[in-house]
Amino acid sequence: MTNALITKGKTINVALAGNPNAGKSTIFNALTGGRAHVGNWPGVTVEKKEGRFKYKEYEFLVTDLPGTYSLTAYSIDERIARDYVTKEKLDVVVSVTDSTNLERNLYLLVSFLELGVNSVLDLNMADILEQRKVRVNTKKMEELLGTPVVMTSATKKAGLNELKEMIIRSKDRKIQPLRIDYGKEIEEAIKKVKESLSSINSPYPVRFLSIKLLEGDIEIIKEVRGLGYERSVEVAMHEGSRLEIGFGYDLETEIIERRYGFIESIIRQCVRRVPTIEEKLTVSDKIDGIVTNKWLGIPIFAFLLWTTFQLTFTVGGIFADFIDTFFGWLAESSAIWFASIGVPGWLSSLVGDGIISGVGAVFVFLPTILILFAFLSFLEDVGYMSRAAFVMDKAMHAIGLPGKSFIPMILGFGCNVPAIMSARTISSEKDRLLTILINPFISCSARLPVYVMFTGIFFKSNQGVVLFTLYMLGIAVAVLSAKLFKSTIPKLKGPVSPLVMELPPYRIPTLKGVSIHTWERGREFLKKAGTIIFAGVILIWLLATFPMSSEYASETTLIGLIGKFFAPLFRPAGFPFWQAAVALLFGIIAKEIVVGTFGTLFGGEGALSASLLKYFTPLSAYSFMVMSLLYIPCIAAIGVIYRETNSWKWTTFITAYSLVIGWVMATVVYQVGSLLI
Amino acid sequence: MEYALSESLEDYLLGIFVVSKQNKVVRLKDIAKERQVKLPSVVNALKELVEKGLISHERYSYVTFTDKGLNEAKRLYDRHKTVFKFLYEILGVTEFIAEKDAHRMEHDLTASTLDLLTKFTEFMEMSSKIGESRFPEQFKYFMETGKFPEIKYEEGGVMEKTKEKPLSELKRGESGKIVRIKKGIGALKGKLLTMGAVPGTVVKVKKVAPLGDPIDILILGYHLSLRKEEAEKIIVQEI
Repeated sequence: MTNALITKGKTINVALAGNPNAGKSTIFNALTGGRAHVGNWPGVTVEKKEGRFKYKEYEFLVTDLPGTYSLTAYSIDERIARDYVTKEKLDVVVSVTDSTNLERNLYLLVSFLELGVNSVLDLNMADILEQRKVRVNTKKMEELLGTPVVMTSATKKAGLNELKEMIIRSKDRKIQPLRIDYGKEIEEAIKKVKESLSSINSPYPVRFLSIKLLEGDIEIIKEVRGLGYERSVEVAMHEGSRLEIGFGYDLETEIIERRYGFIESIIRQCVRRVPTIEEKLTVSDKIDGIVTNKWLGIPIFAFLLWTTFQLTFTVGGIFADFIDTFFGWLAESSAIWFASIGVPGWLSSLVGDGIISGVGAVFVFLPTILILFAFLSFLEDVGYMSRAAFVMDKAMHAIGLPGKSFIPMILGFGCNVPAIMSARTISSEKDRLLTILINPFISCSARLPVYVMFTGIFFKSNQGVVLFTLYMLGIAVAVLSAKLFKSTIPKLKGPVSPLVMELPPYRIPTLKGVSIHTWERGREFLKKAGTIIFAGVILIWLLATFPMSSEYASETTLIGLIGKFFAPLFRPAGFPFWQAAVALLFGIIAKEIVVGTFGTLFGGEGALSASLLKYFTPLSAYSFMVMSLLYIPCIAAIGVIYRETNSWKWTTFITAYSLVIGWVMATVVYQVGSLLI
Repeated sequence: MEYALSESLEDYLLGIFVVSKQNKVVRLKDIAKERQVKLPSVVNALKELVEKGLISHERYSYVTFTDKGLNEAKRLYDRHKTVFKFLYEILGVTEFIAEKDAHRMEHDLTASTLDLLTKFTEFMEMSSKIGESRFPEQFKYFMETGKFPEIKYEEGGVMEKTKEKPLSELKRGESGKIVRIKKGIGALKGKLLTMGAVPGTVVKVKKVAPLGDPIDILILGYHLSLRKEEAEKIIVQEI
């Protein structure tokens, strides 16, 4: 036997499944030491985490499945989980359960067992169980469920070795799908559907398929139809209506009720003293009494958000400035150094203006992102984020978005990049997409320098009012675009997804958990969005440099030519000169660069205000600010939009859309303004 | 207006009204037959009614109502009919007994009781027409079996307001036992069911969000937040 075969035989493929908040990621981190490969599930934007670790002579390959409550495909998450456990070659599925809430948590395990998946039941949070003096007879539970049971406490790192041992021991277990007795009538119906399904070639057990058909599981119906068993679907539908008319019960309800009945009997037999609902939740309830209080709820939310916002953008801003200065210094010194050793100007510029600024443009966001996600991960792990959504849901619902969209909207005022990334917590893909798409219209802090420059010159006496109108315009465009998208784009149509959201008990987060999560976000940003940002910066550099005979970013470079070409387009908006177009092009890198570009093009800081006064009127200055606010999200925002939507189609769409909206609004402002003045 | 009619005169007036509805003209012998009395008694009674200005009656001719008499007769007729209906249709006694007892009750009950009885009868009539309540059927069931009926609902049917209501109508701190989840809400139903909202599960409304929506319910020992929109689909029995 070769070595390769031996190692292959010793790799164990494990998937972690469980309800949201059952402590799945804590188990994952405890097992893998937090070293995970983060990617996407094929074709969707749901995060896929994989990790490896060695134990004894075995190599474990662990996949963290999305948190789900069941295996019926109500959401992408559930579909992914089901497809993965049935279609991949897995050795063991570890069903991570919150043992303080067994009833609901066991439902998922029961679904796995009915599916005939080789599972290990992990009763997590065993320490809390112990505190409450609740005993679980795991032996008996193993017997009744026909699956091994382990108790762990991931935060305390207890029971992990037992879990690993149990995985090794049960990896080659031959198992029979669990049979729940659904009662005489339903069993007869199952039998009939089963008969019609004989010899079907599917990864699912036939009994499982039959039950799912009777439950009316849309995905399974599709699958069975696809395999040419249309008749079975009909049989199931016929049986369903027969039972409904004959016995007056609703089949879907009845089947799920039976499963819960089964779970209840297991708990009754294996758990000594189930604590009453009331005593179980007191501490959490007390916190909730304050945090979601009628009068305090919103102020507390506002305060937390304000603190997050302030610390992120002030502290983050300090580091960002430092990084900015550092890269500026680096670019300058490199230019000086290159000049001293006689390197040609274009190469020096490539390194200085291109590569170093490119890397700088990526890293400048990093402190903000890390600090912000440290806060958000903390709030998420504590259990506050779902409360925030609970508190804000109604207000957001009015504009067709769920409560969870509120945080990205607010964060957008700081920077759209982390804001778009924070939309990740929105569970419905439709709502998340919409939240991402409208985010660039929220006026981020990078646009502020543009406003400051223009209002300082043209609106000295009422700077504040003008600023306010611009921010309000951004919000209005975001809200109206949301409405527009919802009523026109098929994928975004329809009412806000229903809110069925668990409010998990408050927990003390671990430093490790928060830092792993934070670092994951930062790393993803660097890897995915960073590449695009860097590429964008280099592209702009190329345009500003060639042909090499011209001065950097001058009238005769490519960018100048492009600017000249587009300048007439801006005649209706009131700024038909190439410098404005070039400034806007540079603004794609980062909106604040608009200011610097004008500085360069109009000959330095001193001459700037005089030149601007020559080229702009207050009205065209205002329309230019409107354009700066709305047109194309900056390259970093484009990068994260791509990263988060995983689709060039949506990225292109929103870029084009915002360009059009920006132009239209600027034009409307200028034209209407001209009539009024 | 006080007519201060005696019981007997009231019965005569009512009798004349009934006869007038059946025949074109009202003769003395028809009245005697209706009231099951002898002619002289009728003659005496009619004399009194004429004196009170309720009817007019020329010797050897037909009996006719004055306007005042007609109104009074109609009032008496309606009252009689109501009591009869209450006995016959709602309580379900036989027609014969209902007729007999109605005659007794209409005179003896005080005006306010009668008034309420009238209203109650009207209410029951209406409700069974609209189908809002199933009291009549349920009462019949109760009479036959001595048991309160277990209620079976069809989709889209109307629920009994006092016992069942959508979860969205429970107030903070109130509990309910899930009866069923409405149909026609697509995948939401299955989602709610798999999260434990199966019939028989007890839920308690713990909190309402500051803006009045969504709500937070305690179910199977965990907190679940739902918009009222979603909570409306869950039908509970108040406990």
